[in-house]
Amino acid sequence: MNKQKGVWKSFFRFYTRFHIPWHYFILTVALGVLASEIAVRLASYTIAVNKGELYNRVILGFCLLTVAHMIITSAVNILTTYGTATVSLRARNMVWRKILSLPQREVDKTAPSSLISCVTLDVDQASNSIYSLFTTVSSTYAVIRAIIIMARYSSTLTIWLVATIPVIVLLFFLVGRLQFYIMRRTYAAINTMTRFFSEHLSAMKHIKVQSLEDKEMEEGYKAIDARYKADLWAAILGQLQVMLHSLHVNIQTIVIAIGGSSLIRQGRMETTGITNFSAYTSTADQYIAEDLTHYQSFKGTQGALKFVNDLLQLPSEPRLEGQQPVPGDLVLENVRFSYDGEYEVLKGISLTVPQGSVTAIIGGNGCGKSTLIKLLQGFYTPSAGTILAGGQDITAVQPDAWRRSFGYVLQNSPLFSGTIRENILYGCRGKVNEEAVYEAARQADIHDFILSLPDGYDTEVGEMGGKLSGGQRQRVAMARALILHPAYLILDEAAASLDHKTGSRVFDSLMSAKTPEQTILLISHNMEEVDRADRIVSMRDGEVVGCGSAAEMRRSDPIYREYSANQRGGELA
Amino acid sequence: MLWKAKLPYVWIILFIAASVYLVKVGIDVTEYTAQMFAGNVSFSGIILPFIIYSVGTLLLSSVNGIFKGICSAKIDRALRRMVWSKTVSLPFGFFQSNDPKELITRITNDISSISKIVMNVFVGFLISFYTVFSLVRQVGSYDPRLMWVMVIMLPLDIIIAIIMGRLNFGINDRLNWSFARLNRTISERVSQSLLIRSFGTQESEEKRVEGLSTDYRKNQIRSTWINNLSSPFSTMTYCMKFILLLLVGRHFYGGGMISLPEWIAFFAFSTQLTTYISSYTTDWINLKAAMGSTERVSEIIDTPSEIVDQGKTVEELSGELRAEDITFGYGDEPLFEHLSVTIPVGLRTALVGSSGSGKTTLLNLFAGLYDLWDGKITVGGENITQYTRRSYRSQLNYITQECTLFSGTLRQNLLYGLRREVGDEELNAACEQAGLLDYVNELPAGYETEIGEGGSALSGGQRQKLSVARMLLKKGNWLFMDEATAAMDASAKAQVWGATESLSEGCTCLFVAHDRQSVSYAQHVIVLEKGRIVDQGPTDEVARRNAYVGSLLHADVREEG
Repeated sequence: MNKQKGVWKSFFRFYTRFHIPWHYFILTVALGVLASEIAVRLASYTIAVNKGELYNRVILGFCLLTVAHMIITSAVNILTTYGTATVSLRARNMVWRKILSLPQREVDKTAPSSLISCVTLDVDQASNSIYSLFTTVSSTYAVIRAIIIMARYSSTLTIWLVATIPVIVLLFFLVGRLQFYIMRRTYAAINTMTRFFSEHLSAMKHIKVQSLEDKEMEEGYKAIDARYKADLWAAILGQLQVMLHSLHVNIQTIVIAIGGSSLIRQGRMETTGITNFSAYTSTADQYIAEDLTHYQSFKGTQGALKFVNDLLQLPSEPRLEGQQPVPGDLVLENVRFSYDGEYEVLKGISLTVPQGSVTAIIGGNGCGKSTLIKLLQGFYTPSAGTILAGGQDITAVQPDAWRRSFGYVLQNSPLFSGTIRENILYGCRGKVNEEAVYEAARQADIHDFILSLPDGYDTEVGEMGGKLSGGQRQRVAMARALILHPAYLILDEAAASLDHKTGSRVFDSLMSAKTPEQTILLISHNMEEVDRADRIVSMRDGEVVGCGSAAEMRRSDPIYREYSANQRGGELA
Repeated sequence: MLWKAKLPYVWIILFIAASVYLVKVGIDVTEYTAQMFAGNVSFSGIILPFIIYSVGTLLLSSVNGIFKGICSAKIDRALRRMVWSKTVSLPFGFFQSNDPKELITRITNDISSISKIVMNVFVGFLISFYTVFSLVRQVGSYDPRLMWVMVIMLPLDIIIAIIMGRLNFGINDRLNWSFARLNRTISERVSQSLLIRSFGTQESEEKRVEGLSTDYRKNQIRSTWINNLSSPFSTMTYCMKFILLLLVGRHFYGGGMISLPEWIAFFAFSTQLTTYISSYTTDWINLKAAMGSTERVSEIIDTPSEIVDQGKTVEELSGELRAEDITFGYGDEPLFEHLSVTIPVGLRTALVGSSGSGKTTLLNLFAGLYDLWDGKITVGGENITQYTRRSYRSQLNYITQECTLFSGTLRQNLLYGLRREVGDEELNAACEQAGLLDYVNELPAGYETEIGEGGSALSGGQRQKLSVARMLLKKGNWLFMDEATAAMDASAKAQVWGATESLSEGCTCLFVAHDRQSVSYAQHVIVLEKGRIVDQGPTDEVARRNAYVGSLLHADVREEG
């Protein structure tokens, strides 16, 4: 019960977070009532036709009312769209701003697909719910009007009909339940199937070279059959749903047929009385169905909005608050960190990265190198210890400005869809001249390649940069970081996906373009690159093992020596 | 295309039969209703049969609906099975020229729209035709002239239907497109939220999405205006039809040629006809949109399959692998022209060269993934085209660059496609050699750990270790590895290469690598540049004379060796 209350509370709470264009909705209700009134009157003309009263007055009245109804309904539709589209827009922007300002840790916790549906689908549901709320007023009005008119013809039969309303409501609930069940099952089956095909269609090379075609055929049939079974279920349950839905119309028709006919036989109603009831009941039915549908969509929205609301209640990162960063030495003092609160990834790191140095970090997969880099940029805060930059504690520095002083290139840096130029300029603010773009591209050894493309810098890179090869994508990502002339340049296995020649060319050009103030942090397995660093830090299991120049490390550091020996070809020795 | 699939003809016939019967019953219900409306309320004559028929219609239409659902599901399944078995047998080149994401929608959505066409348009045509025919005939039994009135008014119904359908179609396209763009932008950015934060570009991302959603709102409003502006046309046609009907009614009913119940029934039938026709016309209009689906699916069906079972079955592949005077390219330009090369047996051979030099392509050609333009690939002097592709490829052990994994457990992935039983001991041994065992032992669920879609729960290094372990389990004397250790750390690499050493007796091991460590394990090196072989031979010799390999390996290698 309490949980239920929370759901409703967060439901209404959501709508207090942004401005709702009330005028559209109020106007919609007013016109909606008018449209219901016309619909009720139109019913009286249908009755006249069924009584054989085919006079000019009937024809004219019917046509005029039909036209009026059309005009008002159109106006209602248009106004509704203005209202709901505006609400969607405001809610969407609000939710999107929130997602952008969430701390990275919160983003990690949430599945990306649910964040995406928050911004794309859930907000539309939110606006539909407001619309439903308002329309309930006009449709309820129409139901009551129809009942009042029917009572004029025969109060007995009207009471009988009103008595069927609880049955209708019950049927509707059953239908809703079924709907929910079917949807859940079908979605699950569709997802399973789609996932199978998306995984296996991109794996065709593997399948071909391993000669797995027969196995794949079987597995695919299984996925198809799972979907087929869900489809069969949906066919049967869906039909049950349709049947329950039409059952309520049937019940009313039968009540009218039996009750009406006996009233006529007893002389308590005019002989053509059944047609009156039939016409008004179908009008009333239509609006009752509308009310109930709205209630259902309301319930459906609650779940989605609860999620959105919880999201909105998460803390935001104060992106624009704090001191301006002053570049200087990076000093870590006894930094500890854990993602889940249990397993410590960093177990007390103390380390100084002097300004202007090239510092390399080495260590095995999973030793905490990349986590360390993320802490430096302030994506996460240490669970203990401090990180100082130029003497300032980085938690006191404005996060946005702090991160902009970094250039960050990862092993597989993704691009955004758009042109190559747009991607290189991604982090830039204000106008940047063309020459700067070329310069960054040259440093990343990609300028000549770009010029060789028919569209040059205006080439579209596709979703996630998919139209470029891995190495090309990587070099564009490097240019994107270099054009910012960051105070700290972080290369996290940045050259691992490049071939040897290109890799070393890019590395050379980075070193030669480095200004004396610029600090470069290098994570690499390539000892050739590592040896060119001023300082090398070795890590194992979240702890610093050794630190010093290449010569010092060569003498004493076990990790350095192991890597170096491996790379020189331990096997040949 | 439809003829090739096994369609559920029996069910379709059942559905048609039930639909036909339903039309008949529906006519009876309408006639009883008309009697009731006219005041004919005899309980046993009208009311009772009316109730029986209404309930009967409800039940029958439910059964009919289930038939329809079963038909669609069966057609879906038949088509999907056909398309999938065809897809699996397509030559590899097809997957290079078609985006896998796009192929997914062919199997999922396109097929569903094809089965909708079959049911709604083709089967639907028979039923709609019969419905119109029955209604008109029924009316004809009241007065033959009424029948002609109904036939003459059919075009009006069609006009109403077309106006509604056509307009909706065009605008929704545009609306969907603008929503798709919004959706794409958001999903791309949500999954790269770290990147956005690292560039501190939240503000410009806010503006970008605000711009796109404002644009979407504009399209929503535009579409509602256009949709609603079409309603005057359909309302006018609707009123015109009403006027005509009443004038007709006035003539026949007023003139005493038909009774009141007959007039009511006639009026009801005319309204029903409008509904039938407009729903069928909508399906017909949608057909045009669905034509794209049919074409896309037909393309798969019409592409010739790769024949995997033609030729001799090779049990034990042995001898030197050789490319003899081969020419091959992807577009019009050849990548390799008259290239000849021999891969020695029993040695680890590295294929090196800068990106785009053709290393991966050469491996793919050795694996028989493409047809050569000219020349031949031989093993022990025998052209590989005389073997069945299936038996030839099952002798190979090729770790592709992509390091393919499937969702499922570690065990399932390790054993995928393996045609024999493997005990835990052997599994442990393989993982140990691949440097994966420590990781597996740390996991609470061990080999039963789920690795996520495409192995997403694993890091790059772990994925490669898993692929290597899988290769070791498969056993065999032919190893092809395309950058199979690139993401591993130095000690893992050392371990893996150590493991391949134990295999190397009489084994052909050909690998592509970029890093010094991996290349240093090679005993033989082939240097490719722009599709040509510029050098080859024992590693230390090549390192001495070839600048690329020399710089890759450094001079101190030889001293230690």
